[in-house]
Amino acid sequence: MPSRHLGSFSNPLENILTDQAIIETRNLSYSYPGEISALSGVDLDIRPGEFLAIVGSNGSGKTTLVKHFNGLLKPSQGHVRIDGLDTRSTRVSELSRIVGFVFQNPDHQIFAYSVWEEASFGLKLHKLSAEAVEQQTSEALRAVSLYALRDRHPRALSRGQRQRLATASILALNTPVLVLDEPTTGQDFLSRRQIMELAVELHAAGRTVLMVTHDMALVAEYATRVIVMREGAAICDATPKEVFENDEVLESTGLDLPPVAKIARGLRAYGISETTLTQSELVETLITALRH
Amino acid sequence: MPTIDIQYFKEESFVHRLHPFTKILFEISVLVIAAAFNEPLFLAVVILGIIGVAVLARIPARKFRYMWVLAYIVLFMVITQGVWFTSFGDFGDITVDFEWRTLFHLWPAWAPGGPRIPVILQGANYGFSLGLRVVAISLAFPILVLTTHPSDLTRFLSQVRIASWRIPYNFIFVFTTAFRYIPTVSREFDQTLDAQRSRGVHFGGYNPIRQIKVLTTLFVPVLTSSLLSAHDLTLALETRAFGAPTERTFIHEVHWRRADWGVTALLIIIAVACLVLANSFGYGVLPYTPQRNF
Repeated sequence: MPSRHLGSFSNPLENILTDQAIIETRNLSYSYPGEISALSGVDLDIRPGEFLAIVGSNGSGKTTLVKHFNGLLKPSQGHVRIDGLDTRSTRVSELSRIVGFVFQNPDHQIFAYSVWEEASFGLKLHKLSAEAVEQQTSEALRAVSLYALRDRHPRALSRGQRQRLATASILALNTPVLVLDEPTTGQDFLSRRQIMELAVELHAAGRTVLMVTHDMALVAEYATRVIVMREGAAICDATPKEVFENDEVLESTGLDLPPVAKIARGLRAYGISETTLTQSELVETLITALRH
Repeated sequence: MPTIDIQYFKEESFVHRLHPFTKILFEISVLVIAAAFNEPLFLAVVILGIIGVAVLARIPARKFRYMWVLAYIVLFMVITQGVWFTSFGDFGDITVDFEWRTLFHLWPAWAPGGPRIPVILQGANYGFSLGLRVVAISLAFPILVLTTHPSDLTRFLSQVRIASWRIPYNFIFVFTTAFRYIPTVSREFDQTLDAQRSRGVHFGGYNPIRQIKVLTTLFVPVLTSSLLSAHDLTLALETRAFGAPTERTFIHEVHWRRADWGVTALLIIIAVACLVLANSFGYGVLPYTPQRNF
């Protein structure tokens, strides 16, 4: 990806210093109408500046959980507060200024005739000045390297590009929190890496990033905190390392270890007990072990 | 927005076992009976009967949840008929004694130039019955689709022949596929709604021009993806030799049972009885409506 212009994305940085949770759920339970409960008693505090991964098998309640973070779903029991606002009494359109939500399927949102129009749509809704719209839209489009294609019809883009366009349209809103629902599903290796690099940069620039994913390699490499969901409950809330060391959790949820962690496991028999999460960590551990 | 979930579901019930023709006859008799009466009380009984059939078919109530939108249709009918009913003019020879009763005025007395635009009780009543007709038909229709396997319906329709003419299979396919896609499109609609709300689109404001603009953000993605999936469907059909010039066979054979004779006879008797009651004796027909012509 070309050079990025994340200048104005950095204002949420000051939030990092505060300890106040930006997303807070208390005893959150939810059941879909006429069905059994999809979430039960979830208590979470998500602080500004976290890079959070939400993992778990299909139907474990991951998407149901994150849909509470911008008020798309209202809790059946308990409550959810976003930056102090109760989601029950706040409009989704208002919460959309705090929490940006990128959906898995970009085709559910793309309706405009050009890339530019699509990306700037949300900003126009928030009634920003023409210059601000211009500036934030260009920044967002540059961040996903679609600026050169701004006059194209969205249908003329590839699936990966459309996913990035959907991401840009949310990025442009400049929200302090960003929720990515399975951002890398169906993407080739290159686009997957681009999306992750973007998420990492946004996180580095001070945004809170929440990611729903099945991709354990991503979790190992990028997340600072992992929440494991099973049957509607958050059964584990820890660092990636702790999760990958917790056999009970891994077994009961059927999570697969990332390849590097698998190799590290294989090395346990040889007296190397460190659970490594990235390639460089593994190399370092091996070299240290060999030297001794 | 509740998802419209009218897709066949497997269940061992009396209604499920009936022949598709019997169920189509049920739909037709509901149409006939609902058209015969226009008194709210009679239509309410018809609706209760339909609910009885739904219970017999063990259809869970949540499948009908989306029907609350019909409340708006009923309300719309009540108000429009309440206002305009008396202005239809020619009522023919109405022999019954009655007088128009004004419920209230849309333009109230305290407003300048008021009171104007009266809402007439009889009109509102007639509007209510028109609304109930819509409710009755909308309730009955999903029963056919929910309790009949799509391929049984296809099978039945392909058996229909008048002399040497048959319903072309393409038409039958379009017909049955359309039903199959209602829930899919409805789900698509919900997901689009979520995606647009997440980026700050507010649905349901008071500015009508803005609402039209906002609705394009819903309909464009839904229509586009429907067209694209229709295109995918044609490809999937081609690869499975759709339209191959051989006689089609079906895994499921649908059988006409003794119960079907019974239900058919019962439906015809009920429908004819209702027609006679309404047209010859005037039961279930409001006295001040043109339908009452004897």
